[in-house]
Amino acid sequence: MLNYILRRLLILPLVMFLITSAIFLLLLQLPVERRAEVYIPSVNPHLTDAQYEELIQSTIERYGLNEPFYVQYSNWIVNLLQGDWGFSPTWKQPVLEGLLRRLPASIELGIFAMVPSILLAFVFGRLAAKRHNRTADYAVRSTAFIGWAMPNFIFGLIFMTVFYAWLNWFPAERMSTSVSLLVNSDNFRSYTGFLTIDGIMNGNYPVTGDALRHLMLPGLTLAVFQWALFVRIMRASLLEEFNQDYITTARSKGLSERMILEAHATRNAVLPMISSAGVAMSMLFGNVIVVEVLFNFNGIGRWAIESIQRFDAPVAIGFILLSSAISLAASLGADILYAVADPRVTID
Amino acid sequence: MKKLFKRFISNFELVFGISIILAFAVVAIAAPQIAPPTEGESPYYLPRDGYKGIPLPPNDAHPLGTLPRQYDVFYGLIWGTRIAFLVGLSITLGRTLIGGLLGLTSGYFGGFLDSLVMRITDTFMAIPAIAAAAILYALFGEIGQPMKASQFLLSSKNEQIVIIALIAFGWMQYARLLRANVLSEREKEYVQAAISIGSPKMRILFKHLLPNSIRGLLVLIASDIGAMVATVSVFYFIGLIGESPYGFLADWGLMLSASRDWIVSASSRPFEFWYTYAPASAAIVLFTVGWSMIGDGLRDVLDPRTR
Repeated sequence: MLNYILRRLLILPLVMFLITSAIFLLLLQLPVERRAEVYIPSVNPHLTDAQYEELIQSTIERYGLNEPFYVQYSNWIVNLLQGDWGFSPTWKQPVLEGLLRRLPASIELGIFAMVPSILLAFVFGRLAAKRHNRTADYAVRSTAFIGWAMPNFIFGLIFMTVFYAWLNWFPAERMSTSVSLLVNSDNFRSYTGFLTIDGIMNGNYPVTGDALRHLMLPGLTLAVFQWALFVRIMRASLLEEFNQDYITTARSKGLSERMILEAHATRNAVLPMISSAGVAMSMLFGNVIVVEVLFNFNGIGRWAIESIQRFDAPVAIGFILLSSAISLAASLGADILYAVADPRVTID
Repeated sequence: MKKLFKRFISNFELVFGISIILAFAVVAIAAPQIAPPTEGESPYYLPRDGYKGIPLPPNDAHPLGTLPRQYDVFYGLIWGTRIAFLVGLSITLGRTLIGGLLGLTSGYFGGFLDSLVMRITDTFMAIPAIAAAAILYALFGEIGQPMKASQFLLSSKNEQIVIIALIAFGWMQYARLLRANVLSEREKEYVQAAISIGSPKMRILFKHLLPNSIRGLLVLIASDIGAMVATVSVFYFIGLIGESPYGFLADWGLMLSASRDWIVSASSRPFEFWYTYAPASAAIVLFTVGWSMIGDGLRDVLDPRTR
């Protein structure tokens, strides 16, 4: 068990090396002046253009951007490890700072969508499998098919036109203007970066309420897809378990259907859900980016896309590094959880 | 075989999906008859009727109204069908070629080659396709890249970038699936028999393993064709592919992104400008759902265990 986790962890550096070198190979295709931006840690925003030009030139000198590949690569990696992720020419701000400041909002949105959708998928997947080929099954199946097959951003558009533009039940963006004034003032301490939790910790419940209202539409959009994905997996794997011999044995022993479902089949059927959680998380991440842009939600996705539209190379690189790290962590977590849940898993 | 065919036509989803896609195919083929293009202009660009910024509701000249700056919605819908097929098919074809080749070789030869290919697959899996497309765009994208008239599919350099990114960072599932299938086929008796009588490796690979392992891949390909059209639309919508300076390409995603500012209108009537976004969204949804139904149905037919 421990051995498995260790071996799984040992692959990480290799994968990280492959990712960074692939990114670096891409980066090398750029002209040297644009490449220099990736190395600048921070800069005085009031520089004149001539001074900025000079800074670029000195950066080229200092990091040896005209030297061979391996020298440049190792310089870059050392920079990354020290937290110098480059300087965004678009926002006049260090990339890492910009990303980390907006990361909590995106994580908050992801969790807000993920947790209820998994729980509901569990409930409805079991319901559909229990009532296989009856009305409840057909209802769950077709709803899940629509949620899975329809493009997620179209759901976002529908929710936006209906619940925001028409009924005006829930707002877009991350917070109201009044709340944003309060949150950025000195009276409000940011503990976690999650607005909902910070609101409670500051004893300021209207902030939490406002944050929840703003999470509603983007969260719902994301949850629809996640739910559909997991419900389909849960139902299919439960049905597969029902065909196994051990269920027949349990039936012939005279166990009640409820007992069979709860004590035997569900436990095994959860495994495919765990093993697909890594891929699902990485899909969720992609959807979060789109939904943030759609609802003007101030997270890393929207920030990155806005900079990338202006061909901001340092932000693009920081963004891909951070997102690969997140998705690696997610798949690692899923693998470990799988090994914990299924004692049959051995090395490889 | 007859039994398989019977399962084929008795599967509601499959039949329904195929009819949707066939309808789209008919529209795509008959596009010049349904929406005749202007003489001398490239048919893949929307004709415009004036320069007014406000979209106009359906009228006699424009059966589905116009987009902002007076591009005809109906025309775009019809010719967009061709673009959708081309985008979906070219991306899945690229993914199948790369993923198929890697999966086949790593599954068949095994050993060091296998673990190398699998580590590379892991690496690519860790990079979300949307982030990969974004970085390629940031590094190599350009504003207003002109193009040659013959390149109607790849309208601008930026769209080429997105398509390349979706191929280069989307083949992993194909490789994994094919590898797993090859691994299980390789152990079967007919392959062992072919090896024992000394068939050449290439013959075993392409005559025996490939045809028998590819069935499961069909499911993935079918649902991916539609999904890719939706994904490319997303890139248009979030503003990573813009209009080419050559004209307004008949692409559903571009049409949808052109209507972005009209979805939440300032007026009190909430769905006032429905004709700017509803037709293109409906086309994208139908196309995606149609292909997904084919994929889902195919899976039921080929693997009836989970029915």
